[in-house]
Amino acid sequence: MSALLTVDRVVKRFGGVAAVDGVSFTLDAGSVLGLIGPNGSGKTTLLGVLAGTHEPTSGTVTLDGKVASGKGAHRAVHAGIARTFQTTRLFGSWTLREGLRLAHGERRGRQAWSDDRLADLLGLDGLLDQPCASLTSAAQRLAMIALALATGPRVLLLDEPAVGMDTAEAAALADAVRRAADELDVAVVVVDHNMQFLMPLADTVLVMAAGAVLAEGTPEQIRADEAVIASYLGEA
Amino acid sequence: MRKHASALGSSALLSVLAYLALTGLQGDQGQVALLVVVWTIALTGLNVILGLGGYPSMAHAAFFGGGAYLSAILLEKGLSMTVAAVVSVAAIMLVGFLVALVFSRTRGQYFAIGTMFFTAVAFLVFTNAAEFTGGPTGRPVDLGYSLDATVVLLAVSVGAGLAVFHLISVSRFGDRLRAIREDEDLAQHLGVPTARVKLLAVVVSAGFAAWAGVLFGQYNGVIAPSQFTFVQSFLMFVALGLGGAGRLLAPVVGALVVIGLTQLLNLGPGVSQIVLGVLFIAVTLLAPNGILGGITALTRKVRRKEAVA
Repeated sequence: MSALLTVDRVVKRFGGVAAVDGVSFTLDAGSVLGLIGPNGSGKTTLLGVLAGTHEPTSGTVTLDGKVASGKGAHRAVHAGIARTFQTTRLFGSWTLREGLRLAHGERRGRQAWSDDRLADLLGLDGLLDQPCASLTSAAQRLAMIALALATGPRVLLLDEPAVGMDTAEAAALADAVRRAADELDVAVVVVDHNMQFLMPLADTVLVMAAGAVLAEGTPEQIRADEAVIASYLGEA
Repeated sequence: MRKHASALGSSALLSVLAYLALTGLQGDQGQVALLVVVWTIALTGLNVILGLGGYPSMAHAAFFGGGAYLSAILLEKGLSMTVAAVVSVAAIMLVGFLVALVFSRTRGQYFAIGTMFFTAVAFLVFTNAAEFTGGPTGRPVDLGYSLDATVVLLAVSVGAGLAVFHLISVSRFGDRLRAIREDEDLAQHLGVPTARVKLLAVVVSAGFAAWAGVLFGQYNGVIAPSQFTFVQSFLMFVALGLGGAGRLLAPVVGALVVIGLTQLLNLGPGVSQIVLGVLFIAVTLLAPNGILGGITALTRKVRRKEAVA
């Protein structure tokens, strides 16, 4: 079986700087990829290329054999790639339900969970009809994921979803991401610095440094990798 | 269902009121009634791109003037009024498409500045293409429709325009525009084709403005560049903000306040603009969602107090 998402030698330059410098990997449906690396190593930029936020300087992203990169964010969503943001972005004066309605409208026929099921998955029960701006910051981060899931993605890109969450909230989030991957067969890429959150969640981990892939493997392999320890994880 | 009924009902009612005002008022008051009606039609279009989409288009007076001039010129060339009107509106919508193409990569104040320059250029054309436009002093407009027919068209256009706005507002197109107003990047990352949606909104708003211009020329009988300057664009922007941008009846309230202040109170050209400026600042501070938004907030507060008591 061929992979759902294939990232092939993606390069993204801003001026003379290669923020992403030849990254390749593949991703299967229903799997969770953890993307780690020091600040400035190109994780968010790579996510941006996958989501159509940035056009790659060279290289391609293919989803199910079709090129999905370089066509703009809305086309990536329509193809089935959705993302969240490092800083919370919501339609502040809207209720979550109103935002979900918009997102459902852009789904292009793929299946997605109902509002209630999404709320249940993310622990947002009872908050669907509140203005998004009035939610707690943790709930806002979950609401952002709900919006992305409502577009019926086949690939979900989460940029530091657990930021600002306490241990219990992060664990609940990890459960929700795992359930989305398992039950909706969504491939998930998660960028995060919180290893306690990320390592138990990820099936595979990709370590980036200076725009390139430093290491790729299971969480156990990565934990034991000396190059990764030296450049990022540090001595335990 | 009730929401549709009240929106379409008030649209129809405003058509009737517009007809009564246009036929009942004479002289200066009649002129004010005409301007309020014409502005309501034009502002209903602006309410799509500015009210729903949050894009401060300053091109509106140019589209308005374009419709007026083009239909006058085509009428003079011997086209029937209906053909002249349809061709003018379509042509100005095409111009709107091009303007939107050029400025769709800009946001916020840059979009405002860009579209303002477009209006400034349009003003230069109106002033200097004297062979067609009559130059700085303007030109007469032949009577294409009888005055009675124009009055009926004006009145019907008020209600029909508001009804169209309501339908846009509750449609997916309306949702997408509001999403762009709230957070354009997020909207795009939820699948909204933002460039296309904005383009369509500018084209629709240009269509409203051009049609208002056609009717204005017909009723007024004479048009001049000074009626279509970027100051007019700015006043339209102010009017919609005062009324409560994005709300169905904002064009009516905005037109009444701005035209009323500048024409009816007769404070003199400088003073009325100062009063308008102060009023705009006051409304922005006290009721950021305009007069209609303020009223909504106030009634909600009163109701809540009653519920508590």
